[in-house]
Amino acid sequence: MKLKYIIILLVSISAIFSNCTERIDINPDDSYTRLVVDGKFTTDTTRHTIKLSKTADYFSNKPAPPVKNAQVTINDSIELHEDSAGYYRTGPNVFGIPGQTYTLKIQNVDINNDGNSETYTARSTMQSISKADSIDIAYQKFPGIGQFWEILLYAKEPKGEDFYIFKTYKNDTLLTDSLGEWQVQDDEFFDGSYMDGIPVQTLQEDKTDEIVREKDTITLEINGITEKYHHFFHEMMAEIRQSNPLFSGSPANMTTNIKTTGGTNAVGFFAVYSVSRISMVAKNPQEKREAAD
Amino acid sequence: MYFKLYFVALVFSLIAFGVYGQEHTVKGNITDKTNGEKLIGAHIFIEEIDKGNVSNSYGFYSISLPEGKYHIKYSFVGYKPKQKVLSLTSDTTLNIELIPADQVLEEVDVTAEKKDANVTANQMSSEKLEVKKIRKLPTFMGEVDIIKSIQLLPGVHSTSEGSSGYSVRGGSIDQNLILLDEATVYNASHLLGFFSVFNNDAIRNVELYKGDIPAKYGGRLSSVLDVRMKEGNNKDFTAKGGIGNISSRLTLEGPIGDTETSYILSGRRTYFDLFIPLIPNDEIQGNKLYFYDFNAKINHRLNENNRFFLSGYFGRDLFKNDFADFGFGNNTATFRWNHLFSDKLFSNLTVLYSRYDYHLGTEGDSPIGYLWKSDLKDYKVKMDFNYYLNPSNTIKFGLSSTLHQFNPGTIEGKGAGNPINTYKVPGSQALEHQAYISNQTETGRFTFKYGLHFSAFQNMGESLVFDYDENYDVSDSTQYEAGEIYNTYFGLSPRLGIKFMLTDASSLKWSYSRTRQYMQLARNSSAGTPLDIWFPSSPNVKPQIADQIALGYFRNFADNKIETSIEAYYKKMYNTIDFKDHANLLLNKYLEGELRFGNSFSYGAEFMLKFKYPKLNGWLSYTYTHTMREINTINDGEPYPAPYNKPHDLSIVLSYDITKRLTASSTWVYATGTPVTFPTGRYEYNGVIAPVYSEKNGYRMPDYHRLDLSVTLQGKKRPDKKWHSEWNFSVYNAYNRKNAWAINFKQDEENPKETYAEKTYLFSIIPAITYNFTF
Repeated sequence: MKLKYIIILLVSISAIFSNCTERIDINPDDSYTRLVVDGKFTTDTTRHTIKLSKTADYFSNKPAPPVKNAQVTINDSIELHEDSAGYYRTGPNVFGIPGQTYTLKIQNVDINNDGNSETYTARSTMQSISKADSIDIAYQKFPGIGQFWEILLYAKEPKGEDFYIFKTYKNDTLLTDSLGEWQVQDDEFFDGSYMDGIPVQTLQEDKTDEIVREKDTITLEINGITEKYHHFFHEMMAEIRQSNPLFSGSPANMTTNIKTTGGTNAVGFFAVYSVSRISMVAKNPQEKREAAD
Repeated sequence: MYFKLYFVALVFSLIAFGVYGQEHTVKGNITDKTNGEKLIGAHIFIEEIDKGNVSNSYGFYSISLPEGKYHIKYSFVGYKPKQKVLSLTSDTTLNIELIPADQVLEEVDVTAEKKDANVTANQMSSEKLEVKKIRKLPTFMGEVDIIKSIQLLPGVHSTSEGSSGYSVRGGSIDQNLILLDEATVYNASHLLGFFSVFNNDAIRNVELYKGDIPAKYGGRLSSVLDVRMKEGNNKDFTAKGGIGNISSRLTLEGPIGDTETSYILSGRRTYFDLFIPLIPNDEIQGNKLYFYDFNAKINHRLNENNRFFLSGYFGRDLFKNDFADFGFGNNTATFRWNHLFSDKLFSNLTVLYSRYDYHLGTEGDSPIGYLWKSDLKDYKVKMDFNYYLNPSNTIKFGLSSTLHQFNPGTIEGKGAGNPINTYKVPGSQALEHQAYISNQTETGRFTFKYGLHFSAFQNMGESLVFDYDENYDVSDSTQYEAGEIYNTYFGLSPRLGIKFMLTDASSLKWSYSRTRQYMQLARNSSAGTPLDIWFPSSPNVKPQIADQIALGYFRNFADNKIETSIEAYYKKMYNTIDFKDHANLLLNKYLEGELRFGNSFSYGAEFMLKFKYPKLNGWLSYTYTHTMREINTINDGEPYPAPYNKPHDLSIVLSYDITKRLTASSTWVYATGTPVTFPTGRYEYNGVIAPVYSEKNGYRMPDYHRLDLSVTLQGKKRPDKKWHSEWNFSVYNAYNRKNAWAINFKQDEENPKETYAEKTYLFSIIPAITYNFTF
């Protein structure tokens, strides 16, 4: 349940009171090391990657230490090979099928350094996703906030509980490359409705690589994700977003779908999701800009 | 168990109902001579029997005495005492008018009462605020604020910088009952808490109970803040106003026709939005942001035995820009009828309505425009009696019933073709009944106070109630018809208080009180927002219960010019509610599945030193508290510090009259930082650095301290002119302490492998000027 207008509103109210910031020294205790799983497995036919690393002290300020020489499989049959430190990849022609359940298994790691190797597993079911009818773009100007291109979606939202992530490509380059720029949405308020030009992603005009020009190909990627991944994502956003005493709940660890036997609890997520893409070619963006002014 | 308690109460009552000979009653009202306002809690002391009483919430008193000649002394803090000599041969009415000390031209020692309430009253853990005194204290942006002043008292902690929320003796914000003319105020804050809903120009009396809560109050665990509006000057028309940095106020009051009817109208509006263009931040340009509130009251005295009051409050905050519209506010309306059944039996009937609501919606054209609404309504009928049996016994009893209507939230799409389905969190209704009886008996050096409060809470349809399994997931649901009662909780809350006079100037007090709470706020941020909703006890949510004992030593020095007290308390709270990690509390049908239950306790000590010299006034208060919670599944089931637990909290408030017209004041506050959860570890996920936390509330914010200063300059008083004015100059945060409001852990944008901690502070030095006038 995410309504971007609430967020914009809350942010602008907070902005009135939170103009002053400065860095301070905080000395938290050390923490013990946990396994970090950053992996995804989709319906795309590609090399799927699972990244394994370790947690570090909060102010360690070094790249995450990779976990090497692990034995990584999906459903026991798909083997992943370490092609650079901590990166485990499938073969080139692997894809997931909606409705199937996939189990990630990680063996031959010893995170807690007790001399015994531990086993970590994660299970997730591939959700199906229906095809969108079309997309369009619309120019929006919010005085005091900025200018945006909104990506409008035309699609029938199927009945039943669904969870989505929306990402945008321009000329085959992923623009919304960071987690914070993905749009994650449940269908609680929209279930079974026809999405008749609903804004699902935005491109910011003040970022040079996001400016829309004539004949640019805009692609919307829709991911059908699980409810658990949706929760994980929202928890992650709550933890990395600017917090304040008005709107933010007490900080807490994010849920994970990684389970362990014989080891300490792991963090991160093994995300399994289906992918659908739809493209359009931009026509006369300048006219649309002028019309909005 | 309950029958046993009833029996004990009955025995106590029988002891109290001593037999007296031929007796008569002296009764009346105690008022301010200048404006006819009733004086609440004024002392009536009869020298011959060395006993006394206090006026009730309507300024009424009554004492029954054997025939004879009596010296009766009437006194009230800040007023010149008055003595009457009375030959009592029949029932007598003595209406007393006291003159405020600052109206008395000659130097009068107004505090020269032989005994003082601090020591002699059988009431502990309570504080009375004089609006007149807090007006001279430094203000935040020029707004004199009752709640900000309360936060300077021992045992009361502010929840975060600038917030109107407060925690009493380790309790949560929602465990404070806030009453405005007896109507519950569900959200006492304006502008996200930076100001409170109370316009001090319209307020007559403020009393805070942190423990030893009188039997007549119920419904909240930790405290009661009883705010009474002025009744209106019944002598003369007067206008009072003020112009400040952020708001302007105007209050009109006066008699209608004769002195039997008077009214007061008071309004306030901020013009903060006018300053927004000056703030160098593009993001907030074009925003409208203001609040206003309006208090009105009219009272009419039909005759000696009947008096009517009608009062109301209407306040609203509005925030609007090109794409959003957000508003919230409280409304209350109270009708009261004071009736004397006899000289000894005073009654008051109250009928009231209270509502808190908000809306949040999109402005302009949007394909996903929506409107989100929520409200909570109370309808209440209440009957209170004071029975003035004899000078040693005043029996108070009463009962009330409230209908609560909860509409937690509905969201609907705006405009045709909008894909947003209407989403409604099922509402419900509830009946809350209360009954109480209490008495106070004096025997020698001891005074006993004992009371029983009974409360019952009934959930009522129309409602859809979900059942939850052991994993807090919905397992089933039941639909109840409108008016159908589907769940009832009830219980007794005994209240006891003992005072023992050690000497004329010192006493020991002990009290026990049990409190029950059937409604709470769904809030998991520390300061909260106006969107937080109240939800009732239900089949899934047990009522919260607290037992508190307190022991205090009270001693006055220097002819009562210095009052001191030390109180220690221990409080055990049952069915404490907290929220699961990453709880979703807004617009959630399954809110009850987000709740986690457990117990908590708090103990602490409070030290208060108050001085009341003719020129120098003020207090020093220090509080030590320790509050822990143990809640199922939270923090792996281990105990953790409660969110507002600040072990050390110190306030020093000084006010000095340099000349008759010039007063300088200062407040200095120091408090240990509130508990917070800091990350101890980190990990990388999809290019983002995410935190790993160890224990909940395991760290503390940096210590908080702040100095505020103010100077009040009064215009020359001329006997021939009614116009009187004063200037107040205030500086908030005088030494520019950058107190941390929030601490964020961030990933460096330039160097994404680096993380750092950053504090947000709200205010640097904030000066304010207010011009106040009366005529």
